[in-house]
Amino acid sequence: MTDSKKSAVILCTCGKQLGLDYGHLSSHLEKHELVSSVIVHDTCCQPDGLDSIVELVDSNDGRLVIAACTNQKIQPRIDMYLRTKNVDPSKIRYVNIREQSAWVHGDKSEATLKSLDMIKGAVAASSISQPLHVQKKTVPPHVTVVGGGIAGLETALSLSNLGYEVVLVEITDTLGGHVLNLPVVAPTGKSGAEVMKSRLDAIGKDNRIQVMTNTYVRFFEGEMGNFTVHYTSDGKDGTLHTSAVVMATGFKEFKPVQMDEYRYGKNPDVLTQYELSQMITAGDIKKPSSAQDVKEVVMVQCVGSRSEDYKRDCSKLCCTFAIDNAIELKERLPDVNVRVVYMDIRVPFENEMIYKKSRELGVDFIRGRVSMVWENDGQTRVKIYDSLMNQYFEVPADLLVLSSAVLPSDGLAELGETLGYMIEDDGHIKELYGKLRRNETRRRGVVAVGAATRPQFVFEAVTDAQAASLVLHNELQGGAIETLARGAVLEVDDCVGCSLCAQQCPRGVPLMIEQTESEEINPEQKLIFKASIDTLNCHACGVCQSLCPSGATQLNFISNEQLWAEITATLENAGPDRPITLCFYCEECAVSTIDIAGIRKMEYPATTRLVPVPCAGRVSIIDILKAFENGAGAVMIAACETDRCHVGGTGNEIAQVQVDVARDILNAIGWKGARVDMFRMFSAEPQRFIDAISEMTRRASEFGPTPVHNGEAGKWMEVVE
Amino acid sequence: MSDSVLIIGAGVAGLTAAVELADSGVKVTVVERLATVGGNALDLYKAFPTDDCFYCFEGNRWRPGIRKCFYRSVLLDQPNIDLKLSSQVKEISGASGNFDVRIEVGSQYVDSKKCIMCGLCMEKSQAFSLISPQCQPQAVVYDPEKVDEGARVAAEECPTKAIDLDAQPSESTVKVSDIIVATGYHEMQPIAMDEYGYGRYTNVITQLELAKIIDPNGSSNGVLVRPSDGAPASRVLMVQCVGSRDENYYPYCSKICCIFALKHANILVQERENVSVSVVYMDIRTYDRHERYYRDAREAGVEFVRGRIMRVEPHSENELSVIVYDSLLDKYLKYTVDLLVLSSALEPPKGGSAITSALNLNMANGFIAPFDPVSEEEVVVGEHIYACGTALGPAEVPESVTQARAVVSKILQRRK
Repeated sequence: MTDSKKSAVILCTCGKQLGLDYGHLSSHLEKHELVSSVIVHDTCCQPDGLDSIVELVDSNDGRLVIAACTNQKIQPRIDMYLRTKNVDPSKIRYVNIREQSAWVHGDKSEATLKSLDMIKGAVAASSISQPLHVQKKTVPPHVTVVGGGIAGLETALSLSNLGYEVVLVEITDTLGGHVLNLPVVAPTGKSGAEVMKSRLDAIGKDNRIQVMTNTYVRFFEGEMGNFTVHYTSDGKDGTLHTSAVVMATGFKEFKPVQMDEYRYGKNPDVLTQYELSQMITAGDIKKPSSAQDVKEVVMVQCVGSRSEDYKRDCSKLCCTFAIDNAIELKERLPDVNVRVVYMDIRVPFENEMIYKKSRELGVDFIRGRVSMVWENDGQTRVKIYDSLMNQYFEVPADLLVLSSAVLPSDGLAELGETLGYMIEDDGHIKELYGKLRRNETRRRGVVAVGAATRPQFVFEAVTDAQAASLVLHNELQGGAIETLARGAVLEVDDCVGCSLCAQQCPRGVPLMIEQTESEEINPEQKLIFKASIDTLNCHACGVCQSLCPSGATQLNFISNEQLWAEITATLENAGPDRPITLCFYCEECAVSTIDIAGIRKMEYPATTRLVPVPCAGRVSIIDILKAFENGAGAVMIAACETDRCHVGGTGNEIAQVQVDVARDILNAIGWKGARVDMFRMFSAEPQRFIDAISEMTRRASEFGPTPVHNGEAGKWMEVVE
Repeated sequence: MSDSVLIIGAGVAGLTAAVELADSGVKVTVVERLATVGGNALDLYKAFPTDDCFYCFEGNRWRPGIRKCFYRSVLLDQPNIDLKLSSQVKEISGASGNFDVRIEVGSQYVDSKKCIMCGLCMEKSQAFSLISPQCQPQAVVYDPEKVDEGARVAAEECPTKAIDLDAQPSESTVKVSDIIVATGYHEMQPIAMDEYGYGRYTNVITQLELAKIIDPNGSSNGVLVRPSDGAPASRVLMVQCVGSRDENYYPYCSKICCIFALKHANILVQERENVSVSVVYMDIRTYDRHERYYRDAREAGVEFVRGRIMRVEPHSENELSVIVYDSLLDKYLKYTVDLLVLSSALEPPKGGSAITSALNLNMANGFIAPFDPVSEEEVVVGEHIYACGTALGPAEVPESVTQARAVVSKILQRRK
C-alpha cells in the first residue's frame, strides 16, 4: 500500500479522563475516505501506546494522525522511540484534543465536534505528506575570526581546540587589543599583559591558526559553509574561503571632543580613562602639558554614557576602570589626591570590594556633576556641583580624566550589509535573542563575541568566546553536517526572481544567484537573478513561502496544498448557523500560551478551530482568504509578542502585514475587515489567548453570516459603510 | 575511564549544560535537590533583559527554533540525560577525570515518565499538585505530609500506575570524568535584620516573593495583593541593598537586584491597576542596556529616594509605616504602605559548601572562584571541574546560559 493517501488515526483518551464522545469520533472517522483505520487508545504516550504507533506507522506508509494531548509534550517522545525502532516519524500529524478541546470546553458534545473537525483537517494534510530525510553535507572545517583582541584570541584558540582551521584577522599590526594596555584587570588585579601572555604564546605555537595583521575585511559573500571574505592586507586585496565568521571587533572609547564643557582635545591635561591606563602602563605619570608631577586628579564618570545626546545606556565598565586606575595612582603616587565625580557608582559583585579599598586609600567620591573646566596660568581648574551637599566648589586638576563611553568599533554597520547581521540601537551587533542566544546573530554561521555585542569585562569576554565556539561547533559539526532536512525547498524553475524571500528571510538564508545560462536559452524573458535556498541552513519558519508570489519556495512539511487542504477539511461543517473562528497559531509562544490555558482549564467558546503553523510568518493573505472562502466567520493569528518572534525576529511582523492587507481586501470587497485580526501571545499570561479568541468569536457572531454563507461571494456588491 | 559528566543543580545553568552535552553525544547525570527543575528561574514570571516569560529554554538539535518553552524541553525523554530529582550528591571520591559519585535519590512517589497529567489524583487528594503549569518534568508531585484518604484511591485509579505511595529513598553510584557545579543561589531571608521587620510583619516580602504574587499563573492571577489579608495593594516601597554591600552580611554587590526591582516596579506601575512604587537606594546599578529599566521607571512615575530605611512599624492591621532617611534632601520621610519589598542579597546556596569543600575549590565570598585567576577563565574551577551560573556569583539568565555553553565548550575542547 505504498501510494495510498489514507492515514490511520489513533485517538487517545488520556486514561479515560477527557470525556469526549469517542464512539462518535470513531464512527465518523471510520467512514472517512482518507482514513484507513481508527484506534482508540487510553495512553498512547506509554510503552504499549508507542508500540501501537510503530505498528500503525509501519502499516500505513507513515501516514498517521495522532489525536492526543499537546504534541509539544508527546512528539519528542514518539519521535525518539520511533527512531530507535528505525521507523520514520516525519509524516505523522498531531491534533491536540486535550489542551485545545476537552480541557477548555465544558460542553463535551461541542468539544467532540471541534475535535472531529480538527482531526479531519489533519487527515487531509496527512494525505499529501512527504517524508523528511536526514541529509549530510560536508563543509570545510574553517572559521574566520575578525578582530585580534581578547575575545578574538580566545575564540580562535577554542575553535582550534575543537579541530577547526582558523584565520585570525587583525586590523592593527599587533594582537592583544585594548586589554594589553590595562594596568590592572578587575577583580584579580593582574595586568592586562599578564592576562594576554599565555594566549599570545599559544596562538604563536598553534599550527591551525593563521594570523593576518594589518588586515581589514572589506566585504563578505556567500552563506554558512561557503563564505568568501574579501580583505585588504598590507595594502593588497585578497580573498579567502571559510565556513563561518566570528565578529570580535571589540570597542572604541568615545573621544568627547564635541563636549565643550570638558575641554578634551583643547587642554592636553584632559584625557580619557583609557589614555590614563596607557600612561600608567607605560610607567610615566606626568602632567602632559608640562611634564611635571601629578598631585591633583579629578575623574569624571558617565562622560557620554547615560546621556540622551551621546549614548543612552550605561557603559558598565567605566566605574571599575576608574577605581582600578585611582587605586593604581594612589599606590604609585602616595601624595596624590584623587576625586571621582559620579552619578551612581556601578561596580558589580566583587568589584564592590575594590570600591571599598579605594575609599580606604582616601579616594574622594563626590556625587554630582562637573559644571565647568577652564585653565588659569597653566593650571586646569574644575567646578563641581555636589548633589549631596547641594553646593558648588572648585578644585585644581593636574589631570582631568574622563571616563568616556564604550562604543562599538567603526565599520560594523558596513560589514553587516554583506554579512547580514543586524545592528542594535547603540551600534553594537544585535544578538539573535537576548536571553538565550547572545552570541548568535540574525545570520546563520555568523557569531559575535566580546565587546562587539556589548561592553564586557575581560572574564566575560573570555566566557563569551568559549561559548560562541561551541555555538559554531554545533552548527558546523566539525564540517560533516548531518541534519534533518526540515525547511524550505525551492523549485528554481518556478522562481520569478522577485527577491522577496532573500530580503525578508529572518535568518538571511535565501541568496540571489546570477543566472548566466538562462540568457542563452531565452534572451527575451531572461531572469538575471534567481533565488537559491539551502534547506539545511533553513530555520523552517515559512516566511519565504507566505511571501513567494509564485509558490516556488515551500516548507516541505506544510506545503500550500497541505495547509489549504487542512483549512478546507477543518471548516467542512462551518455554515451560516455555526459561525466558526479559525485560529492559526505559531508553534512557539502561541502554542505554549494555548497549552497553558488548557492545563489551567480556562474556558473559551467551542466554535473555534485551531490550525498550527511553525511561525505566524507562514500564514499568507491567500491562506487567510482560503479560510473565509471555506466558510470561516472570523480568522485570527496568534503570534509571538512584538519584537520577540522566536524564529529570528521578524516572522510575527510579516504576519501582521499579511493580516493588515487581508483586512484591507475584505473591506474593499464589502466584507467586514474586522473579521480578521492578529494577537500577541505570552505563555505566562494565558488570559491573553482567552481574551483574543473570545473577542473573535464575538465578532464572528455579531457580524453574522459572511457573503460565502449567503451565496453572494464573487458577485458585485455595493459597499455599505 | 567513564566519559559521562555529573551536573549538580538543574537550574538555568545546569540544564543548559545538560542539553548541550547531551546534544553533543555526551551522557550526563543531573542531580537536583527539588522535585522539579528550573531552579530560582521557575518563580521569576518575567525575565530580563527580554521581558518575556522565563519559561523560555534553549531548544536542541531535534527541536529547531531559537528557543522552546520550558515544558517542551522534554528532558525526561533525552536518552543522554539521566535526571535524578529530589536527590543529593552525598560523596565524591576518586581522582580527577575519574570521579566516583554517590547520590542519595529521594523517594520517587510519582514516576514522571508515566504521569500523563490527567488530573485524576489531584481530584482525589490534596497531597498531589502541579507545581506550575509549565513545570518540567510535566508531572504532578506528591507531598507525603499532606496524605489523606484520597491518596490511596488516587494511586489505585491512576491510569498509568504512576504513583507509588510507599516509595523509599535509594542510593546510586555513578562514575564520571567531569563535574559541573551549577548549584545556583539562594535569596537571603533577612530575618536577622531587625530594622526591616521581615518575618515579623507579613506585608514585608522579598523580591522573589513579589515575583510569585504578580505571576498571572499564581494564586491571585497576577493581581498585586497584600499577604496579610489578600486585599489589593496599591502603595509599594522597595528597598535596595538589603544584606548586600553590608559588612555585617555580604560585602559584595548582588548585581542583579536593581534590575530585578525596577523590572517589578515597571510591571506594577504600567501593567497593574492603581499601584504607586517608591524605591529607596544607595546607587542605582542598571548596567549596560539595563539602563532602559531605570529610564522607563522614571518616565512611568516610579519615585526614587536616595537613602536608607530607618524603621518599620505597623500603621494599621494591614498597613506599614516606614521611616526613610533621604540623603539628598537630608530629611526623614514617613511612608504609609501596603507592601515593603526587600531587594535581598543573593547568597551562596545552603548546603553548597559540602560539595565545594569536598572538591577543594577556590572560593570568594562563598561563591566559587576560578582555578587559575590569571587566565580570567571563570568557568574552569578545578581539574575536570567546572562551574556555571550563580554558583560563580550573581548572574543574569543570559550570563548563566553563556557560562554553561563555555563549560561545555571547554569539556569538548579537552576531549578532541
